[in-house]
Amino acid sequence: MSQKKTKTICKIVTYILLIIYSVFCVFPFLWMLISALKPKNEIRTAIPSLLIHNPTIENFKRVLIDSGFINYIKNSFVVSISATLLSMVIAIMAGYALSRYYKQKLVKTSNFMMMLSQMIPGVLLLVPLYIIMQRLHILETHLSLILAYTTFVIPLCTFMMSSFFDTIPYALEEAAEIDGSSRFATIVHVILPVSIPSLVSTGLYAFINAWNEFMFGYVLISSDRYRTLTPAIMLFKGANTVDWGGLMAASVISVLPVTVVFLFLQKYFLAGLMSGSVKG
Amino acid sequence: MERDGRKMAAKQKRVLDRRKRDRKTAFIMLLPALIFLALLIAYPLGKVVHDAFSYVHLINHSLRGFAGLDNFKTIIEDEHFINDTKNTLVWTIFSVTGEYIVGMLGAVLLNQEFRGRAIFRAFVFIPWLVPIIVAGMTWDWMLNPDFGIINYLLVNLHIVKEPINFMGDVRYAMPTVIFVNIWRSFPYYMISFLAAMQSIPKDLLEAASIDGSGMFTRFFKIVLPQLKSVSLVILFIHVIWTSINFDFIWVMTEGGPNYATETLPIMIYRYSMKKFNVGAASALSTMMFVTMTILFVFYYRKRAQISNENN
Amino acid sequence: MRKKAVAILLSLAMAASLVACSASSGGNKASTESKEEEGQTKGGTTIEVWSSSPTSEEQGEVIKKQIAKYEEESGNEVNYTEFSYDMLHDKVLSSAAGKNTPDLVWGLPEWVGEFYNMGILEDLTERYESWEDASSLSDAVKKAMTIDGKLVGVPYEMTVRAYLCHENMLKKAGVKAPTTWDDVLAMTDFKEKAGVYPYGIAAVGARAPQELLVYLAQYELEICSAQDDGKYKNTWKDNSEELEKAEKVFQFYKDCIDKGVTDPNSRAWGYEETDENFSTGLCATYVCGNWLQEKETTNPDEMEDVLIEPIPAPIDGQEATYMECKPLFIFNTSKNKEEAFDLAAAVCGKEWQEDVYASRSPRSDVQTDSKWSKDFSALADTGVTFPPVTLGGISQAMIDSIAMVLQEGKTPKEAAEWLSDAVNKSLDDSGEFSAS
Repeated sequence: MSQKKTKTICKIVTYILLIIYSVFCVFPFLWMLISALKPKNEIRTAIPSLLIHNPTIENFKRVLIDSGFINYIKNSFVVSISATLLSMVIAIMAGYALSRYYKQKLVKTSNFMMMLSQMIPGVLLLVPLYIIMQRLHILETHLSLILAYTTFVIPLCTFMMSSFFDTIPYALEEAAEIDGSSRFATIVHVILPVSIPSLVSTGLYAFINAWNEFMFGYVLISSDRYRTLTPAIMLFKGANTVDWGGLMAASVISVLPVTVVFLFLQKYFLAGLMSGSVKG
Repeated sequence: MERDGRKMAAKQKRVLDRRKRDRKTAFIMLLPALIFLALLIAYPLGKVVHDAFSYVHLINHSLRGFAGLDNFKTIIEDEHFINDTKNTLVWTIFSVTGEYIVGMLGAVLLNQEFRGRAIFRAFVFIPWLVPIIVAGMTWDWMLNPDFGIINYLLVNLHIVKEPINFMGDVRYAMPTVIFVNIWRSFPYYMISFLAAMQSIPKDLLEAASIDGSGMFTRFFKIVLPQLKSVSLVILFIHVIWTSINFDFIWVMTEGGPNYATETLPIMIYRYSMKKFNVGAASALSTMMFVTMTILFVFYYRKRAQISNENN
Repeated sequence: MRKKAVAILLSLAMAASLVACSASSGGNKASTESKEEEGQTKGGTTIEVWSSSPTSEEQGEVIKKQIAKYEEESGNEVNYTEFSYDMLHDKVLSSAAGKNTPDLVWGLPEWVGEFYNMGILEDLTERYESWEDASSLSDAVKKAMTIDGKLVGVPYEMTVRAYLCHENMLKKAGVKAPTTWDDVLAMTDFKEKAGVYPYGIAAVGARAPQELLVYLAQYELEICSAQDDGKYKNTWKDNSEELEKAEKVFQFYKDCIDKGVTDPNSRAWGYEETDENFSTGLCATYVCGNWLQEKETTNPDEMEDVLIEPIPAPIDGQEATYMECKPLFIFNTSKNKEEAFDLAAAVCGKEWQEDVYASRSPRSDVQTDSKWSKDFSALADTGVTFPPVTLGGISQAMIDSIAMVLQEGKTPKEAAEWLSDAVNKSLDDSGEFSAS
């Protein structure tokens, strides 16, 4: 009886806390959405309001059709997905080495270098990276952004993967090794299947990072054809005026595709819940 | 006797072979990552260190060549250096701690089984999906004392009497940007903890539950230790990122009001893009990463310890 | 161990940069060639243009139309992309480092000094001489494009600041539009009567130094002035009269807040807040440019009653306003300078100006009948501009000096002296300080 009672209380507390969390998290997004649906003369008023008197999709129409955001979304997807796949392959390999061979000198050195690479502030990277891309002849291409974003996320993805690999018992691999399968096959067939949740969360990180990056998006790309989302959003902020309707609509549009990707990947989280319990 | 010796030799050879093979495997595994870093990071890193000890000014060309420690002197003598260092520490420590706590609590909540879990999960991740620049501008607007929705609600619900000038008041500016930073960054902590929690064997928790351990004991005795490795990675990398983060504060306050939220990366930005003294900016950057390298030594020891325990 | 790691790292770095360097020499040529080829196949040249994002949607449309027209008439192709000014600044700096600058860039007046001093701007003086339209630019506009006697930009937009007043609110409080600082500071019971603050100031962001420049100019003060050796110096501390005047300016800022004429929150406001407050009717009067005309569509009721007046000046001073003359830049590493100037001349041409920048044209022969054009250009004669020096450090110092008075409680005298030193230090840093 009393256990049941504590369980109920537990549940109520959980729900209350989750509702607080949700309000905290969703409110700014909601505000963006509301503002995006307001007509010009309602957006920035002296008395802010959560209600819309004359809702309009004018802002969305302007952003999607007139400003060519469909093309920017496509570009962002191409860049982010490529960067994610590339960095995941690299990070799984490097992460495995970091986890299993951490005693080797080479591994220690690489670990140190990856760490160092994270410590340069982006501002000081702008000019050198521009020049490197220029010399590789890949300015004005998606490739320049893919390479840059991959490099930015490799260290964290590697560390994340290696820390997940740490929790996988060595015995699992040894069994496979005795069966005669190669190291590579072991990783693909034994290690990866049990680390799907970590793969998804690390990959998601790489994706979001590429999706949201801003500075290199406009420094390395000058033509409208290859432009990604975030630099395009900032165009609504003019020198003397800000087009809040356009800005908010564009922001909502930039968040929605990622939310869909996220919802889709959630399934794998739940799947991971089961595969995760295999080990132990 | 002889047979034993031969056996020993064979074993030694096997071990040696294995070591050689392991070294090769490690090398191959690391190669792609190293190529990327060498290609894109080695040159900028080398340039930063080189420029730190040289006179590099985009406008004033009267001084050139080796500068010794002059650039470091410029930085240390800057009247905002102490203030900015203090701000960087406050910004980093409170942001990372807050993100960790909020993220951990969120992960614990969402790790339970209840109805509507998928919806809540999606909601809670939204902040992380909003681009930093957009998040910064939206919060800026919402927190405005005159036409911001938050002050409007606070005043009308009689929570405060007068609108609070969150971003413009020296007293509130830093807590506000930290708050918004936590809002934006904690989902990533949560997602990582959630992923790690799911690999905690269920029977372990059930066994503890049957033993009659309370919720808190279970969390601190079983869950938390399992998250040690992930926590360490996340905390360490976020300490680095938060301390070198530039765009968040820049979008929200540009370091103001009157330097109340200016951190060292903003100072680096001012030196390189406003004053065009790339040498001084590089010197400050070098100082920052020497400090972080020292932190790294501690991190590395701890990390090795955890790997040791595991294997 | 660590030493070794660093050694490996450094050698790797060197190797990488060597590879990068050797790869570059052949590389640049190839890319130029391919670009030229591209241009030739289309019959004309492709002009690479980076523009600022237009003030309004309508303006954007018209610009695109004009470009299409130019392409048709000249046979050249225009590769036109929009950016925000912040982005443009970063892009110009990085492309200049790679000697890969575009042909034409829409710029801000604040950049003239720094780009010139970096040695990346093309001298357009000779081209100006054979350009017939140059005669329709006033001397003040040409001066704003000139540095060291060289013309380095083609103006595409020119605005001055005026004093905007909500007439209805003034009536409600029973006052006339103030013309002097004393009138402004006398509106102490305005808030009580009309419910809003009467005056607004910008204390941070790009607008703050521009405003401070105007108040200083009303006392005939310059933030730094050209000396005999061609370099610059802030002379306030050499001249007690100047310093006294500078003090009075800071005293004005202080009084605005202390006397309740300006919202105390404005100590941390940039243009976003102040423009917003004026156009939503949260502030009765404010110094601003004529882009606020756009707010007539977003806030039609509040913007109905706007009067355009000269900026209030001190009784013992003179009228002044800030003249913002925006230049089109051509760089000395640009590939198609002739074509770029040709396009710049078209942008500054009468037809284009009437179509795109009718109410803020640098040309003396382009104007409209709206109050936003006529009333503003009536003030142009009193316009001042920034001196052509590297402004990054100086404008920051100007913002800091306002904060000293408004936030740190320093006296106007301390702020004036500090600013004088800070300006000279910034000039010294960039090698533009005159020690004479």
